[in-house]
Amino acid sequence: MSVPRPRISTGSGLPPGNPRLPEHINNRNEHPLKDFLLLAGALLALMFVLTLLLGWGAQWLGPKIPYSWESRWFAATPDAIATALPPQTDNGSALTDSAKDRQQALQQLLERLLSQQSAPLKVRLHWLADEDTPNAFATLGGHIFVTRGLLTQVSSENALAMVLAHEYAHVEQRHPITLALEQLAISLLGSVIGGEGAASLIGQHTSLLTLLSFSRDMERSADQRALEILQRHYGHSLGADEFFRNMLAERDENRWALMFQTHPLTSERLQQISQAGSAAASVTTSQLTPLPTLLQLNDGAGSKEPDQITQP
Amino acid sequence: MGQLLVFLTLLALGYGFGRLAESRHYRSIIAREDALRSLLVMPDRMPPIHFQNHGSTLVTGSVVISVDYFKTVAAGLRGLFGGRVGAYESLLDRARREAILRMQEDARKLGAEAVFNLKFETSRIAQNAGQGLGSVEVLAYGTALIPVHGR
Repeated sequence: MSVPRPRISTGSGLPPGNPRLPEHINNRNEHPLKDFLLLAGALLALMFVLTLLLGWGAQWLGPKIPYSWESRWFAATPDAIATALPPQTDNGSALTDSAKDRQQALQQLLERLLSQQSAPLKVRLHWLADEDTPNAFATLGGHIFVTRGLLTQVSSENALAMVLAHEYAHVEQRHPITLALEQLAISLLGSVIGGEGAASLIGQHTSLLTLLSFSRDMERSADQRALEILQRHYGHSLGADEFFRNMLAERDENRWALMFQTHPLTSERLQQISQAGSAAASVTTSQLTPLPTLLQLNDGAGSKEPDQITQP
Repeated sequence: MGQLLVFLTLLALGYGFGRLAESRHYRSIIAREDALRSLLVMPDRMPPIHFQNHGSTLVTGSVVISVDYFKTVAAGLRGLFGGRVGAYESLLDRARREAILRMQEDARKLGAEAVFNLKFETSRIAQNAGQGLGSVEVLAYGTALIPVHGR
């Protein structure tokens, strides 16, 4: 130690002044950015690796969870969705007769589609009578939701079957439960690293996106599987592209921007579908199956006057 | 995205102003310590016999410091990885030295020759930053020994 010891003055036995202590003992006096950048970099790398690992873990575990467990755990999903949607205009949560019939017709259509499959999963269809956005989505517990807006967009059973089969393929490939596991893992990670604030932030963002955020790979593989189902049932996959073609023609940017971002680019999907269809190129439109009358909400020309489609 | 921008802005502001204040403060501390070097500050409880005829009184120096955003984040990172929290060390080092200087200035005003029985106290000023360290008070106090005139 090279600390200069104060000279002892002879008279009082006291030092002549306070010692000048060396700096850097109590304060290392390093550049704060160096430390900060090192740690922040390490943290980001750690989070990246953990997120990847947890994502893989979810993809591995998701399909291994028995489907019956998933159905049991998420039996209440439809109620949660119903309350999340804007309040029903007149009938509350009780379905009107026509809505019940439509729901049943959709269910029957899906069951017909799947009748040739070896061991179809039990999936429940739900009809959203007050939702004008053309949409269909599959969510946890094997629940598929179809909006009235969707039926106003399709003109043949084949097109509707494509959408239903696509959503069924998500359930069959266990995409919703995989996503839920991923989000659970990521919010856990967030709460470990960032404390409660970060966890609730992530929770808010993810719970809303659960319905939409299937990855492009998931969408692509669901498309592929849906085409197989259609091929098996109708013997061709004509008409499958109709819904997406309609969406492309009258794309409502605001509502569909998000959907298009997570779904493989619509034109790319159309290409995939028409490639699959080209094997049976000789089939003409006359081979398209018309919609069951109960599900005909599209008056052919594609015009969407509300009074024309709200008939029961 | 917006939240990230706010975060980065706060971080940059905290770093810029915090760094500026710290280097200024250290310059001032070192200069004042040199100026007050002759006013002895000792930790001993009993002053030597030399001071037996001096009067005595309590002198105090108190400092309240607040953490800037950059330091909070840097310390939060240290909280994950462990190790010396350099961001807080420099802050508290400044606070302790400033507290002694204020106490010395108090003593000099009273005409003291030395301050004995130096003690520190540190307390957190409650809850003003949620879970994090908000403001901290550092108090230095001791017994000032003042020569009695006219004897």
